[in-house]
Amino acid sequence: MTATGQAADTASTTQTRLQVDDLSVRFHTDDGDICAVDGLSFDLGAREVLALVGESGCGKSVTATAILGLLPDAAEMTSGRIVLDGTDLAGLSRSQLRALRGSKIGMVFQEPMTSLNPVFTVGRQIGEVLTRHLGHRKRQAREVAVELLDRVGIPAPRQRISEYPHQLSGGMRQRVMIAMAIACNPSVLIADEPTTALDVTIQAGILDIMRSLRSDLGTSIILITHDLGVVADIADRVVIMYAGRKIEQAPVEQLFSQPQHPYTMGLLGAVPRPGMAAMMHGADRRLAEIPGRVPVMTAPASDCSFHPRCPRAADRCRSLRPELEGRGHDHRVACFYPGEEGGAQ
Amino acid sequence: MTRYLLRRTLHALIALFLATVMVFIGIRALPGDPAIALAGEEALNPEMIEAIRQRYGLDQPPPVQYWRWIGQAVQGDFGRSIRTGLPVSALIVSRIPITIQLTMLSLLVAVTIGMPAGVISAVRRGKPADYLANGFGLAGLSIPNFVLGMALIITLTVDRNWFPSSGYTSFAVDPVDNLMRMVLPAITLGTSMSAIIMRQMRSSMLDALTADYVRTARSKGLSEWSVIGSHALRNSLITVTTVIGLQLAGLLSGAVITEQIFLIPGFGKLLLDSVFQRDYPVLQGVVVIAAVAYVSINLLVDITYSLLNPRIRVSGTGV
Repeated sequence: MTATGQAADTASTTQTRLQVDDLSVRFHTDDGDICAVDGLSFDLGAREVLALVGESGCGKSVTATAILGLLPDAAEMTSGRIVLDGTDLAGLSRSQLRALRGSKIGMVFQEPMTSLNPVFTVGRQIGEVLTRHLGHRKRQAREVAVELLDRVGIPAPRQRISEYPHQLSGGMRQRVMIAMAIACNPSVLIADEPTTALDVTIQAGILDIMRSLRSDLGTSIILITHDLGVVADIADRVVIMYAGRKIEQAPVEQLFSQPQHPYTMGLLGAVPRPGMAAMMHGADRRLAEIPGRVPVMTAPASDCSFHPRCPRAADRCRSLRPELEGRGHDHRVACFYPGEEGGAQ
Repeated sequence: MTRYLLRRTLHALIALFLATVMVFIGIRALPGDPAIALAGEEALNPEMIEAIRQRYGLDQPPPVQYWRWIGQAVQGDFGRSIRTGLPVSALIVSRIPITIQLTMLSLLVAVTIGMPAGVISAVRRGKPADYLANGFGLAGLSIPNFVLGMALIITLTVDRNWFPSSGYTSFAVDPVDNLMRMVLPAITLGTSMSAIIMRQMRSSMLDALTADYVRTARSKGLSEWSVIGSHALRNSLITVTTVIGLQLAGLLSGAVITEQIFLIPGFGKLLLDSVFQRDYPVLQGVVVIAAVAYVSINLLVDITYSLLNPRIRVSGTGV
């Protein structure tokens, strides 16, 4: 990422809540190092919903845990700056970081079934955040927890509060996770695949909650997902990730109407759209899929990591790494042959 | 919860019934005729033996004998010792508190060493503290009770005279002397158990520390103390409690050896003495009471387990 590129990124949002700058994360494994995230930068504006999109293994969840400072022991943040509301998190002590977690940054994890502690009641698990960060007393925390459960749409919250996670359905548990994450009105909420494990009607309910969080409380949201339907539904801006790198970034309408990167086009092709079936005939009636899978990066890419799967791959893609370049307002793409016809070059 | 308790209690009663049948059959399967053993020097006199058979009901068919024995046993009457003539129940009652004190002190030793050591070695995985704890665990598991007991006696009582070497003083008579005499036996009996607890604690903690809910707890900004001491520990305790319970029952058998080494007149020594003296009524009574203790401990463990683990409490389906 060039200095001018960073400047353009920052300028594109008026009020920046969270700024991630040149984030790189490596995992040290027995089989050598793995580059999970490589030079990722993005900004999150106030009241903005930013979607981080990509296939499994592209570094989305690692990015989230890195922002929270909760990378597993085997992982190492080799570069990067994370700035939350003007504060560089690298300059904070462990306890200062802990004070931010759960209060200014809320996190909703991917697995609602295992992310709640099975031996504590829902009320205790929510109340903990309130006693920790707001200094509530037990009784007061319980009352607020009931309100929170009500806010995330759990019926009969006063009964539910003393139940254990296994007594709740997956959708309920995810709502509890959200209630916990928003308990202290965080300025940033990171939601990692919050709807993946849930069925469609419940998905819609969860997205409604996130929408009202943004409108009522002004929460900025990072939504990590591979579901472009969800992205179209709620996101303002989209960052497409591939093999640990950002390969395209655009406002949501623009991304869907004018995708620039062949990978993005492939992803969009793999999404069923209403009316699409009617337009297609016979054998073409299948969803498009991108052949191959996301490579595991053992070193930072020196070429375009998508080239083995790319229909447009040329010699240049195999030897040089494309950098992000502007393609219209706030639309950036890392590809030598972007756009409808393969670029102007 | 009530249904669960009822079912567990029923299971316990069945186990107990089976245990008494086994004891009954087992003792009768021992080589030698109890009547002849009882008759002692007059064993050559058939009338004498017959008289003894009638007196102890040994001429009745085994089911009748069993029924009579169990009928009296549930009223607390296990007959009289052949050697001393004292009621077996009184003998047992006088010995039990001693063994209970010994096992409880051993448990205290085991838990106070084993649990923190396990937690520390899990949290400091791969660091010196972990290696130290693991080395201790291996040693604790490998050294037999009697070796450790003798080593303690030799080094700390014979060579240095820090503790009285053996024998027993009632707590009611002299509490300080009582405790001084109990320290070494409790360490002897508790060490291997502390190693088992430590290893179980370590592996449960390691599991818990990588669990998603621990990550959630950290994402809430909770202190490490609260993440480890509350979220992870509480889950680890579920398995550790089970292991403690199972081991607690095992302490009873360890007590037999330990009491013998330190000459503590507890329940275990009563058992051994009754075997060597072929005191059948005492032997039967002791084994039954041991079975009762074993089964009740396991029942208590089950109940504790269900209190710690809400999933079991509600579903009531057991493990």
